[in-house]
Amino acid sequence: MTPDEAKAILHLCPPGDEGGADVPGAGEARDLAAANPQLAAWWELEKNFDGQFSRKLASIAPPAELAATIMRGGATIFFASRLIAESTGETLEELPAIADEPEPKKSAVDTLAAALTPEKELAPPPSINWWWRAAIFSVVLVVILLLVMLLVLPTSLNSGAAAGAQLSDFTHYAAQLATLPVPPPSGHTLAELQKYLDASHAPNPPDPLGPSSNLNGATPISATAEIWNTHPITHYIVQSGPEVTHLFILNQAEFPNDEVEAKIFEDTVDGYRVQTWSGDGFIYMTLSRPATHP
Amino acid sequence: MSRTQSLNFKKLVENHFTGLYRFAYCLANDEQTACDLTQHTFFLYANKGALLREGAKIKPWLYATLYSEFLRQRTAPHPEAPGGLPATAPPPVPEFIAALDGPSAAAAFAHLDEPVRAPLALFYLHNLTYPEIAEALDTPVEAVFARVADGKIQLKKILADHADQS
Repeated sequence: MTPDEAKAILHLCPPGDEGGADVPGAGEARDLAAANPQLAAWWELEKNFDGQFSRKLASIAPPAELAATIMRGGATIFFASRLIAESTGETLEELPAIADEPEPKKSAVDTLAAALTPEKELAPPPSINWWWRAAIFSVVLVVILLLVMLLVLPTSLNSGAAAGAQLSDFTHYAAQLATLPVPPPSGHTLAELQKYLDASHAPNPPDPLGPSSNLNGATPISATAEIWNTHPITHYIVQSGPEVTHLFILNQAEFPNDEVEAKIFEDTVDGYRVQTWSGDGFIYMTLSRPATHP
Repeated sequence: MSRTQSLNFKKLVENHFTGLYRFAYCLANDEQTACDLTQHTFFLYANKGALLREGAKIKPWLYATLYSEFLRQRTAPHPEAPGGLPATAPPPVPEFIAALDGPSAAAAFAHLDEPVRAPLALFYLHNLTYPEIAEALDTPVEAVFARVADGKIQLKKILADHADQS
């Protein structure tokens, strides 16, 4: 091996791995450098340059919110995937295990990821436990709802109408419903939701889902309450033209304030258009797809 | 989706988002684009990662996905670097390199020939081994060697020119 050949090999050794474990001939080139002061001096300069430049690149820091944004997006996708799987009866595939990675430290994004990732099994049939839980909540619902309807709801609805221009009438109304300790009865919810969605009742309200979702004039189909990871979620299904939209509302107070920002995330999961946003103290998520989709 | 699923994703993000972001920054030379590329890569994994075969190397897959998306988004052809480079090039003066900040160093990649940019960025970021770089870029490892060697010569020339001008 000549010194020039050794140079051609040595400068392929990555910074931080000057041994060049993956570079053929690196050992022989290193031996030659050890015996050749001129070559050794050249290699020293080369290593200094590589190390210096590598450190410069390593100083590039991602924006502080990037990891949280990615986690929020991932949680959204997992959440949406689970909802889709439950609605279609399909079994979800698990992501490959990351066995060789260290256990992460507890961080601020844990709560949201955990909250949006229910612990119960995928696509389970309704179980006795579920019905017992539903029965208990129904009893509580009746008691609290009577109090709420007498004392809180009229005021809330009035203030909702007055504050319609703040974010959106629909969002604000949904937020009022979600403030209830337990979800309101379906009939009342649907009626009020329909009343709200009626374009003649609320002309040109801002559409929280953007122009493509066109919720004005949408027909409420159902409203249910679900408990995921102890967090109450209000779930509406509305149909708008050829599209069916599932709207989920979570109380942002359930999460640390620094985890959820008033940002919109959009993606497509298994044919559903997924949108999330937050505002007025609530987190909203919609899954939309054509009603004719199988 | 299980709790394990979420934890796996979180581990993956925590372990790789910084390296992927830096790689994206070297390619795009723009913070917003780098963020978009990094997010897209993880969202694609969250959406489709379950389809990866058992035992697949996730890290090269992430870098390959990011690079593919970068190539897909890229519209304008990259300007060619000046020809006639010497077979070897002396490193620029250390003081000039020391004065560079990270984004300025990454900006030098914009002046490199397109084929050498990704291999050289991964060489300096040192997040992947040569076989992993070859897998991520879908290129034989011998070609990665050649592109890193060529890229280093170009990089030194570019930095030396900038040092002369300043």
